[in-house]
This record gives sequence, C-alpha cells and structure tokens, in this order.
Amino acid sequence: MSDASTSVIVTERVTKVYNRGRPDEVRAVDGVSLSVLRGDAVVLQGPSGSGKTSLLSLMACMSRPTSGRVVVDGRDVARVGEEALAEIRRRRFGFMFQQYHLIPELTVLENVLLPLYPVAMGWSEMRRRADAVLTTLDMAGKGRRKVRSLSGGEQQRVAIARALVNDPEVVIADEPTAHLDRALARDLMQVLHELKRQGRTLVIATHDPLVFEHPLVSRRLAVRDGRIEGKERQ
Amino acid sequence: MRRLKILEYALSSLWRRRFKNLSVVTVYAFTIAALGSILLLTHSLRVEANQILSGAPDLVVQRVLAGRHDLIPVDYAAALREIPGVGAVSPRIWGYHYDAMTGSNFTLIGIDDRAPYELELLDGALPTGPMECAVGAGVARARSTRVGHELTLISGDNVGVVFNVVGVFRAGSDILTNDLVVLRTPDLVEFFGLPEGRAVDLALEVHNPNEVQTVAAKVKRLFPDTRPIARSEILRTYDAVFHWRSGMLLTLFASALVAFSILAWDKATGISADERREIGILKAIGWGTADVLELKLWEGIAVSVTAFLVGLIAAWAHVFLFGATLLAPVIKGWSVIFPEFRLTPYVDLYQIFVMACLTVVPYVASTVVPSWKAAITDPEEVIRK
Repeated sequence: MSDASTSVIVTERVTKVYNRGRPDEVRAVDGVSLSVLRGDAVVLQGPSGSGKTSLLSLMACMSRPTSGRVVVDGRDVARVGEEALAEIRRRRFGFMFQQYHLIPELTVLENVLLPLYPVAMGWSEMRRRADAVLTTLDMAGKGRRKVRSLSGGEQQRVAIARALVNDPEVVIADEPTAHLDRALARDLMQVLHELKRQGRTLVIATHDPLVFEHPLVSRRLAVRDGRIEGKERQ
Repeated sequence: MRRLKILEYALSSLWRRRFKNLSVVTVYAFTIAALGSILLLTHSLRVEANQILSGAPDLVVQRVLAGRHDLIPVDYAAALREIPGVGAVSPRIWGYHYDAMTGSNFTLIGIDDRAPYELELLDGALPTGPMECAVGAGVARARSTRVGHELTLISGDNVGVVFNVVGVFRAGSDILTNDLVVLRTPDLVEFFGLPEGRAVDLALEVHNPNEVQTVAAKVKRLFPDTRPIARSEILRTYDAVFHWRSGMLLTLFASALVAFSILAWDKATGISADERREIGILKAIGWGTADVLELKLWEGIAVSVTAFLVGLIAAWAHVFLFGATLLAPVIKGWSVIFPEFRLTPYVDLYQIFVMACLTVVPYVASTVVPSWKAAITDPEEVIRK
C-alpha cells in the first residue's frame, strides 16, 4: 500500500453487498484493498458482472460500503455527512457512466452545465467553462443541440465534458468504449491520454483490450467475483 | 446566485414536462376556481347583506294572520311608541312587483320625507311629487330608462301606471338598490290597492341595542298577532342560508376535491422512473440532497402557486365579472329573477389564506416527499434501478 499523502483514493477490505439478508443477496465487492495514487491511470479489468462498476461507485463516493473503509483525500467516507459527500463528488470527481446518463431532453450545453448549478459561480463563468471544455472535445458550436439528436460518439463527448467541467482531479470512467466503434474508441483514448498528461488521476473499468493495453495505463487490476485477482500488472 | 440557478433549473424542468404539468395545473386551477367561486360569492353576499341591514330598523313588526304575513294596522304604532326604550315607529309600505315585460322582480318602496336607507343617488333626486319615482341601476337597465324618462308599471288591476323617473340610485353595492323602485307612499298605496290605515310592517327604533329582544317580547305580549323581527335575527338567517347553500355546493364539489386529492396522492406515492433517474444523475454529478430537495420545492411551489393564482383569478372573474353564472342559481336562490346585478368584490383574506394552506402546502409536500426518498438513497442505487 502506498503512502496516504500521495494516495487520492484508498480502499481497505471494502465490501459491498446488495439485497442483504434476502435470497437474492449479491456480494458485488468482496474485501478489496487498493490505493490510487495522484496522477495514476488505473484500469480495473474484468468481465461483465465481476464487480467493477460497484467498486468504481464506492471509490467515487456514489455508494457507501457494507463494511471496510473508503478513504478519499485522507477522509473516511463512512464518517462524512451526506452534503459533504456530495461536495467531494462535485469537487474531486468527474464520472463517465457506461450508459452516459445524460438527460436527453436537455441541450448539450445544459447537460454540461449540470454539475455547476449547486456551485457558487456566476452564469458567465459557467458558460466560459462549458464552452472551453466543449471546444477541447471538438464539440464547439453544438451546445444548443438536444442530446437525443447526437450520435453515440458525440453523446460520449458530452458525458466527458460534463465530467470535466468541474475541473476534477480524478476522472472515473465505467466501460468508456462499450458503445463506441473502434475509431471513436481510439479518439476517446486520445482524450483520456491528454487528461493524464494534464496530471489528472484516471480510474477506468473495462474489459476492452484497446483500453487496458493502451500506453496511458500505469496499473492494471484484474477483478473477478468482487475481488482483485493475482498480481498487479504495471 | 446558487438559489437562483436552482430555481432556473426547476423552471426549465417544468417546461420539459410541460404537458404533464399543464394537466396538473388545469385540474388544480379548476378545483381552486370552484372552491374560490363558492367562497368569494357567499362572502360577498354576506357582506352585501350586512351592508343592507346596517341601515335597517332595529326591530320590524309584522302582523301574522293564519300563519302568514298580513298588513298591519297603523294604529298599532301609537301603542308601540309607549313601550319604554322605543324611539320612532314608522309604518312602511313596500312590496314586490313582477315586471312581465322584462321577466324581472322589482322591489317597490314608499317613502315620505327620507329614504329608508342611506342611499346614494347616481343621478337626479328622490321623488318629492306625485307620480315620481327613483329607480335602481338594474331597473333602469332592464327598462332602458333614465332621469327625465318615464317608467310604466302594470298594476294589479292590469292598468298601466306611468311614473316620471327623477333619480337613478347607486349604493355601496348593486344588491342594495339594483331592483329598487322608490315612490311616494300615497302613490304606492294606490298602485298596490292597499286599504287605508294599513301598512306592510312597522319599523321600530330601539335606543339600547341590548334591549331589542326585551322590546320584542313586550311587543309580542302587547299584540299577540304580531311577529317582531330583530335585525340581528335577519343577519343570522342570511348567514345560515348562505352557509347552508355554500355548504351544499361544497359538498357537490367534494368530487372535484377528491379528484385533486387522488392526483396529489398519486404524486405523493411515487415519482416517475425518469424523474428518479434524473435525481440519481444529479446526485452522482455532485448535487446534494438539499440541492435536489430545493429543486423539487421550487417545482412544487411554481406549479401550485401558478395553479392557485390562475384558479383564484378565474374564480374572481366568474363571480365578479360574469355574475357567478354557474353558481348564482343555487347560492342566490329566488333572487335569480331580479334584474341582473354585479356583486361588489369583497375578499376575505383569511379564507384565501386557508384555501392556500389547504392546497398549496399539501401539493408542495407531495412533490418534495417522494423526491426526498430518492434523494437520500445512494445515487448509484437510484441510477441502477
């Protein structure tokens, strides 16, 4: 385990159980201990249903562990209140969902602005940030288009823009290439590579070799049945 | 700034679901309009009735014969004046006249030197000479007459009697003078064909308002064939009648209330999968529970306040601009054959406040509570469902 001062996220024997005590109980994460260092690009590699998404959710403070500890910036998530947890999600993380989870009735710009509504920030600064991030992702000029009218690749970029508009230190991506063709997937990897070059920490769950074999990846962790398997591959 | 941004997002959310929200606002506003119309109408009628009766005599003495109101001998007045505490006693001549030409019912009042109430003339003067009359605005409108013109009324003998219109009334409210035709007493006695020495009733002035019931009892003892009616009794009767009628209508509109309650309950017991998912997304990207609740609070307030105001304005227009067309037959009762009149708008702010509390607050709560349930759940769990 690495030094806590350089670790952005630390999990200690963390477990997540769904439908606890019921016949359909699922142990999605089972005693995982890992540490994500600042500037790292960690890939959680494993088949569907192996517990990658649940582990990502725990690391991004989107759910609380059934047991064990998740420490973000030195703070135990279990001991942090609901509003403080929301602030950690808002300030520290940018999350790219596998299904994008955009709001289809909103425009591109409105979707990208969503994380900034609860922040004490003026409209002009919000617009400036959103325009800048959309320009970086070659989406300038498409701000007024409804998300539902975009292609899959464009929707992926909107999701990335929304994840980045808060200028987060950690970008968490769940199966980012799952719905993209190879060309778009390679474009996406370029974007992620650029984020790493900017010094951001990346945590990516995937079973796509294009992602886990990409040179940007600094660590690969195999996940199976909710556990980290074997030795870490650098 | 943060609050304004969340309000802006709430309004845009409502706009996105505009058809659903429009249907909610429509049902909600209709309910408020129905309730508001009943409350505004009955309140205004009560205020009008109070205004009329504020100038009415302290005690009116009628004669009862065979259980029915009969003409009273004017001689009774002298004996009544002798009762301690009684001031002036005035015989009154008045009655109703059905005007077949317009299908309206007019109230005819005879005067000697002064008007029976504190009446304000719009134009002209009270009648001072024979065959002169002053008419209410409703009568003037119904018969297309005005000062300097004539008013022909058909007497009980089927003879047309022509009066010169010397004044047109206005009052604090239309209801007081709208159907009124004021004549000199001798003209009215002749028009109705009343026998000499008889009046319709006697108006008594009582010096001490606390003694009215005592005086009434003495009148009854003195003249057992009479029925003394105190002003306070008439007020209570008006109140009871309007309460009873509005209560009946409110019962009928209970179905609208039930429909509204079902709508509110439907909202309270769950939110749509889309709304739930949106809450999960907002939380996942950094919105706190308080932010989501504030968003839903604004949405609830925007819908309910809009619907409340639309309903209230509709009720106002229905009652005071369109004469409560839909409710008047029930609430006003027999007065539907009056010449049409418009109520003066009187609003009981307490009633409006209670109505707002009973509709806006439950609706806002029914919007916020289910969202609160979704908002306190981990965002991951909400998104997964």
